[in-house]
Amino acid sequence: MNLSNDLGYIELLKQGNSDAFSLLVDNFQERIYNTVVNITQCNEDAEDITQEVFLLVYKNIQQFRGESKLSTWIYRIAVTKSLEWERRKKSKKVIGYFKNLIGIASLESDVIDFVHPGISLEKKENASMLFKAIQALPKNQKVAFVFIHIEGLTYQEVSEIMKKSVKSIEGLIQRAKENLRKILTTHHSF
Amino acid sequence: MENTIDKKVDEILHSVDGINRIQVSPFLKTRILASISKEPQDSYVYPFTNVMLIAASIVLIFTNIYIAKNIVSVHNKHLYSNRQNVHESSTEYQLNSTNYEYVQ
Repeated sequence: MNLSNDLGYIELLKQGNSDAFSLLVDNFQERIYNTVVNITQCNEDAEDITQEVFLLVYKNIQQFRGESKLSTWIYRIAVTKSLEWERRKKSKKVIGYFKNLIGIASLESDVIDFVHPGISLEKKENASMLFKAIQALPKNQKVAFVFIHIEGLTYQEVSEIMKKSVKSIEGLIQRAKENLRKILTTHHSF
Repeated sequence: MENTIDKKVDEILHSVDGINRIQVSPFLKTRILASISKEPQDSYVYPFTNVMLIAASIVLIFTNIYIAKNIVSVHNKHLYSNRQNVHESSTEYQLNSTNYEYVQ
Protein backbone atom coordinates (compact mmCIF):
# COMPACT_ATOMS: atom_id res chain seq x y z
CA MET A 1 0.00 0.00 0.00
CA ASN A 2 1.34 3.46 -0.91
CA LEU A 3 0.80 5.35 2.33
CA SER A 4 1.69 8.72 0.81
CA ASN A 5 -1.38 8.86 -1.42
CA ASP A 6 -3.93 6.75 0.43
CA LEU A 7 -6.67 9.17 1.49
CA GLY A 8 -8.35 6.60 3.73
CA TYR A 9 -5.10 6.01 5.55
CA ILE A 10 -4.48 9.77 5.97
CA GLU A 11 -8.00 10.11 7.36
CA LEU A 12 -7.19 7.41 9.94
CA LEU A 13 -4.07 9.39 10.92
CA LYS A 14 -6.19 12.52 11.32
CA GLN A 15 -8.54 10.63 13.61
CA GLY A 16 -5.55 9.73 15.80
CA ASN A 17 -5.70 5.99 15.05
CA SER A 18 -2.76 4.40 16.88
CA ASP A 19 -2.39 1.48 14.43
CA ALA A 20 -2.14 3.94 11.54
CA PHE A 21 0.62 5.82 13.36
CA SER A 22 2.44 2.61 14.15
CA LEU A 23 2.41 1.79 10.42
CA LEU A 24 3.62 5.31 9.62
CA VAL A 25 6.57 4.94 12.00
CA ASP A 26 7.41 1.52 10.51
CA ASN A 27 7.45 3.00 7.00
CA PHE A 28 9.28 6.25 7.60
CA GLN A 29 11.51 5.96 10.68
CA GLU A 30 14.55 4.66 8.78
CA ARG A 31 14.29 7.22 5.96
CA ILE A 32 13.79 10.12 8.38
CA TYR A 33 16.54 8.95 10.75
CA ASN A 34 19.02 8.68 7.85
CA THR A 35 18.07 12.11 6.47
CA VAL A 36 18.56 13.64 9.91
CA VAL A 37 21.92 11.87 10.42
CA ASN A 38 23.19 12.98 7.00
CA ILE A 39 22.21 16.61 7.53
CA THR A 40 23.24 16.99 11.18
CA GLN A 41 26.15 14.49 11.06
CA CYS A 42 25.43 13.61 14.66
CA ASN A 43 24.46 10.03 15.49
CA GLU A 44 23.79 10.91 19.13
CA ASP A 45 21.09 13.52 18.57
CA ALA A 46 19.55 12.02 15.41
CA GLU A 47 17.21 9.74 17.39
CA ASP A 48 15.90 12.67 19.45
CA ILE A 49 15.32 14.75 16.31
CA THR A 50 13.58 11.81 14.57
CA GLN A 51 11.32 11.43 17.61
CA GLU A 52 10.53 15.17 17.47
CA VAL A 53 9.70 14.89 13.76
CA PHE A 54 7.13 12.13 14.35
CA LEU A 55 5.68 14.02 17.29
CA LEU A 56 5.20 17.06 15.04
CA VAL A 57 3.63 14.88 12.36
CA TYR A 58 1.18 13.53 14.96
CA LYS A 59 0.33 16.96 16.37
CA ASN A 60 -0.02 18.74 13.02
CA ILE A 61 -1.56 16.03 10.84
CA GLN A 62 -4.85 18.04 10.83
CA GLN A 63 -3.01 20.75 8.90
CA PHE A 64 -1.89 18.31 6.18
CA ARG A 65 -4.12 19.28 3.25
CA GLY A 66 -2.95 16.62 0.83
CA GLU A 67 -1.47 19.15 -1.61
CA SER A 68 1.77 17.15 -1.56
CA LYS A 69 2.57 13.54 -0.82
CA LEU A 70 2.62 12.56 2.87
CA SER A 71 6.28 11.49 2.50
CA THR A 72 7.18 14.93 1.05
CA TRP A 73 5.49 16.66 3.98
CA ILE A 74 7.32 14.46 6.53
CA TYR A 75 10.68 15.02 4.78
CA ARG A 76 10.07 18.80 4.93
CA ILE A 77 9.51 18.61 8.69
CA ALA A 78 12.70 16.50 9.05
CA VAL A 79 14.77 19.05 7.10
CA THR A 80 13.36 21.97 9.12
CA LYS A 81 14.06 20.23 12.43
CA SER A 82 17.58 19.23 11.36
CA LEU A 83 18.48 22.77 10.24
CA GLU A 84 16.95 24.14 13.47
CA TRP A 85 19.18 21.78 15.45
CA GLU A 86 22.22 23.03 13.49
CA ARG A 87 21.33 26.68 14.25
CA ARG A 88 21.02 25.88 17.96
CA LYS A 89 24.37 24.07 17.85
CA LYS A 90 26.05 27.04 16.15
CA SER A 91 24.70 29.51 18.70
CA LYS A 92 25.84 27.21 21.51
CA LYS A 93 29.30 27.22 19.92
CA VAL A 94 29.37 31.03 19.89
CA ILE A 95 28.28 31.18 23.55
CA GLY A 96 30.93 28.55 24.39
CA TYR A 97 33.58 30.61 22.61
CA PHE A 98 32.71 33.73 24.64
CA LYS A 99 32.56 31.71 27.87
CA ASN A 100 36.02 30.45 27.04
CA LEU A 101 37.22 34.01 26.38
CA ILE A 102 36.15 35.16 29.82
CA GLY A 103 37.48 31.95 31.34
CA ILE A 104 34.30 30.33 32.66
CA ALA A 105 34.41 27.31 30.37
CA SER A 106 37.05 25.17 28.84
CA LEU A 107 37.30 25.08 25.06
CA GLU A 108 35.87 21.83 23.82
CA SER A 109 36.99 20.43 20.56
CA ASP A 110 33.88 20.57 18.36
CA VAL A 111 35.49 19.32 15.17
CA ILE A 112 34.61 15.69 15.43
CA ASP A 113 35.05 13.57 12.32
CA PHE A 114 31.70 12.10 11.36
CA VAL A 115 31.94 8.44 10.56
CA HIS A 116 28.89 7.24 8.66
CA PRO A 117 28.14 3.66 9.72
CA GLY A 118 26.79 2.81 6.26
CA ILE A 119 30.11 3.30 4.46
CA SER A 120 32.48 0.48 3.63
CA LEU A 121 35.81 0.41 5.46
CA GLU A 122 38.01 1.32 2.48
CA LYS A 123 35.94 4.44 1.75
CA LYS A 124 35.68 5.63 5.35
CA GLU A 125 38.59 8.10 5.24
CA ASN A 126 37.44 9.74 1.99
CA ALA A 127 33.82 9.84 3.15
CA SER A 128 34.86 11.52 6.38
CA MET A 129 36.61 14.27 4.37
CA LEU A 130 33.54 14.64 2.16
CA PHE A 131 31.16 14.96 5.12
CA LYS A 132 33.40 17.64 6.64
CA ALA A 133 33.29 19.55 3.34
CA ILE A 134 29.49 19.13 3.10
CA GLN A 135 29.17 20.89 6.47
CA ALA A 136 30.74 24.00 4.92
CA LEU A 137 28.15 24.23 2.12
CA PRO A 138 25.26 26.74 2.18
CA LYS A 139 22.21 25.01 3.65
CA ASN A 140 20.17 24.70 0.40
CA GLN A 141 23.11 23.15 -1.47
CA LYS A 142 23.80 20.88 1.46
CA VAL A 143 20.20 19.61 1.70
CA ALA A 144 19.98 19.07 -2.07
CA PHE A 145 23.33 17.24 -2.16
CA VAL A 146 22.38 15.00 0.77
CA PHE A 147 19.04 14.07 -0.80
CA ILE A 148 20.41 13.38 -4.28
CA HIS A 149 23.83 11.86 -3.62
CA ILE A 150 23.45 10.25 -0.21
CA GLU A 151 19.73 9.49 0.17
CA GLY A 152 19.37 8.61 -3.51
CA LEU A 153 16.14 10.58 -4.07
CA THR A 154 15.21 11.73 -7.57
CA TYR A 155 15.43 15.38 -8.69
CA GLN A 156 11.64 15.44 -8.93
CA GLU A 157 11.23 14.24 -5.32
CA VAL A 158 13.79 16.76 -4.04
CA SER A 159 12.14 19.58 -5.98
CA GLU A 160 8.83 18.76 -4.25
CA ILE A 161 10.43 18.60 -0.81
CA MET A 162 12.36 21.85 -1.25
CA LYS A 163 9.50 23.59 -3.10
CA LYS A 164 11.79 24.49 -6.02
CA SER A 165 11.80 23.61 -9.71
CA VAL A 166 13.83 20.65 -10.97
CA LYS A 167 16.05 23.16 -12.82
CA SER A 168 16.83 24.95 -9.52
CA ILE A 169 17.75 21.65 -7.88
CA GLU A 170 20.08 20.86 -10.78
CA GLY A 171 21.67 24.29 -10.32
CA LEU A 172 22.04 23.71 -6.57
CA ILE A 173 23.74 20.34 -7.15
CA GLN A 174 26.06 21.86 -9.75
CA ARG A 175 27.09 24.67 -7.37
CA ALA A 176 27.40 22.22 -4.45
CA LYS A 177 29.83 20.07 -6.45
CA GLU A 178 31.88 23.10 -7.51
CA ASN A 179 32.04 24.31 -3.90
CA LEU A 180 32.96 20.85 -2.61
CA ARG A 181 35.79 20.69 -5.15
CA LYS A 182 37.08 24.09 -4.00
CA ILE A 183 36.83 23.17 -0.30
CA LEU A 184 38.50 19.80 -0.77
CA THR A 185 41.33 21.24 -2.89
CA THR A 186 42.02 24.14 -0.53
CA HIS A 187 41.68 22.45 2.84
CA HIS A 188 43.23 19.09 2.20
CA SER A 189 46.74 18.35 1.18
CA PHE A 190 46.83 15.05 -0.63
CA MET B 1 50.27 17.18 -9.74
CA GLU B 2 46.94 18.86 -10.61
CA ASN B 3 45.73 15.63 -12.15
CA THR B 4 46.52 13.73 -8.95
CA ILE B 5 44.55 16.27 -6.89
CA ASP B 6 41.60 16.13 -9.30
CA LYS B 7 41.66 12.35 -9.18
CA LYS B 8 41.70 12.37 -5.39
CA VAL B 9 38.84 14.92 -5.22
CA ASP B 10 36.81 12.76 -7.61
CA GLU B 11 37.50 9.74 -5.43
CA ILE B 12 36.31 11.66 -2.35
CA LEU B 13 33.18 12.91 -4.13
CA HIS B 14 32.31 9.34 -5.11
CA SER B 15 33.03 7.88 -1.69
CA VAL B 16 29.34 8.07 -0.77
CA ASP B 17 28.20 6.14 -3.85
CA GLY B 18 26.40 2.99 -2.83
CA ILE B 19 26.15 4.09 0.79
CA ASN B 20 24.00 1.82 2.96
CA ARG B 21 21.20 3.14 5.09
CA ILE B 22 21.83 3.10 8.83
CA GLN B 23 19.63 0.62 10.66
CA VAL B 24 17.58 2.34 13.36
CA SER B 25 17.58 1.16 16.93
CA PRO B 26 14.73 -1.28 17.64
CA PHE B 27 13.76 0.94 20.59
CA LEU B 28 13.25 4.05 18.46
CA LYS B 29 9.71 3.07 17.45
CA THR B 30 8.79 2.38 21.09
CA ARG B 31 10.18 5.80 22.06
CA ILE B 32 8.25 7.55 19.29
CA LEU B 33 4.97 5.81 20.07
CA ALA B 34 5.40 6.47 23.81
CA SER B 35 5.96 10.19 23.20
CA ILE B 36 2.95 10.33 20.85
CA SER B 37 0.67 8.68 23.41
CA LYS B 38 1.49 11.45 25.92
CA GLU B 39 0.71 14.30 23.52
CA PRO B 40 -2.76 15.48 22.54
CA GLN B 41 -3.38 15.81 18.82
CA ASP B 42 -4.06 19.37 17.60
CA SER B 43 -7.68 19.86 16.76
CA TYR B 44 -9.70 22.59 15.14
CA VAL B 45 -12.45 22.08 17.77
CA TYR B 46 -11.56 24.09 20.86
CA PRO B 47 -12.45 22.62 24.24
CA PHE B 48 -15.25 24.46 26.13
CA THR B 49 -12.83 25.93 28.73
CA ASN B 50 -10.71 27.48 25.97
CA VAL B 51 -13.77 29.06 24.36
CA MET B 52 -14.78 30.53 27.76
CA LEU B 53 -11.25 31.87 28.31
CA ILE B 54 -11.15 33.50 24.87
CA ALA B 55 -14.59 35.09 25.44
CA ALA B 56 -13.53 36.41 28.87
CA SER B 57 -10.35 37.90 27.34
CA ILE B 58 -12.34 39.68 24.62
CA VAL B 59 -14.77 41.14 27.20
CA LEU B 60 -11.81 42.27 29.33
CA ILE B 61 -10.13 43.97 26.34
CA PHE B 62 -13.35 45.85 25.42
CA THR B 63 -13.93 46.90 29.05
CA ASN B 64 -10.38 48.27 29.22
CA ILE B 65 -10.86 50.18 25.95
CA TYR B 66 -14.18 51.65 27.28
CA ILE B 67 -12.59 52.73 30.60
CA ALA B 68 -9.56 54.21 28.85
CA LYS B 69 -11.85 56.14 26.49
CA ASN B 70 -13.78 57.62 29.46
CA ILE B 71 -10.60 58.65 31.26
CA VAL B 72 -9.34 60.45 28.15
CA SER B 73 -12.72 62.13 27.70
CA VAL B 74 -12.76 63.45 31.33
CA HIS B 75 -9.15 64.58 30.93
CA ASN B 76 -10.00 66.41 27.70
CA LYS B 77 -12.95 68.12 29.42
CA HIS B 78 -10.57 69.43 32.13
CA LEU B 79 -8.11 70.53 29.52
CA TYR B 80 -10.86 72.35 27.66
CA SER B 81 -12.09 74.19 30.77
CA ASN B 82 -8.50 75.14 31.71
CA ARG B 83 -7.97 76.49 28.24
CA GLN B 84 -11.23 78.42 28.45
CA ASN B 85 -10.19 79.99 31.80
CA VAL B 86 -6.92 81.16 30.29
CA HIS B 87 -8.74 82.52 27.29
CA GLU B 88 -11.22 84.42 29.46
CA SER B 89 -8.44 85.89 31.63
CA SER B 90 -6.51 87.00 28.59
CA THR B 91 -9.47 88.88 27.16
CA GLU B 92 -10.27 90.42 30.53
CA TYR B 93 -6.76 91.86 30.94
CA GLN B 94 -4.52 92.57 27.99
CA LEU B 95 -0.90 92.90 28.86
CA ASN B 96 0.79 95.69 27.04
CA SER B 97 4.36 94.79 26.40
CA THR B 98 5.69 98.30 26.06
CA ASN B 99 4.38 100.08 29.15
CA TYR B 100 3.57 97.13 31.38
CA GLU B 101 0.14 98.50 32.02
CA TYR B 102 -3.02 96.58 32.24
CA VAL B 103 -5.47 97.68 29.64
CA GLN B 104 -9.14 96.90 30.09
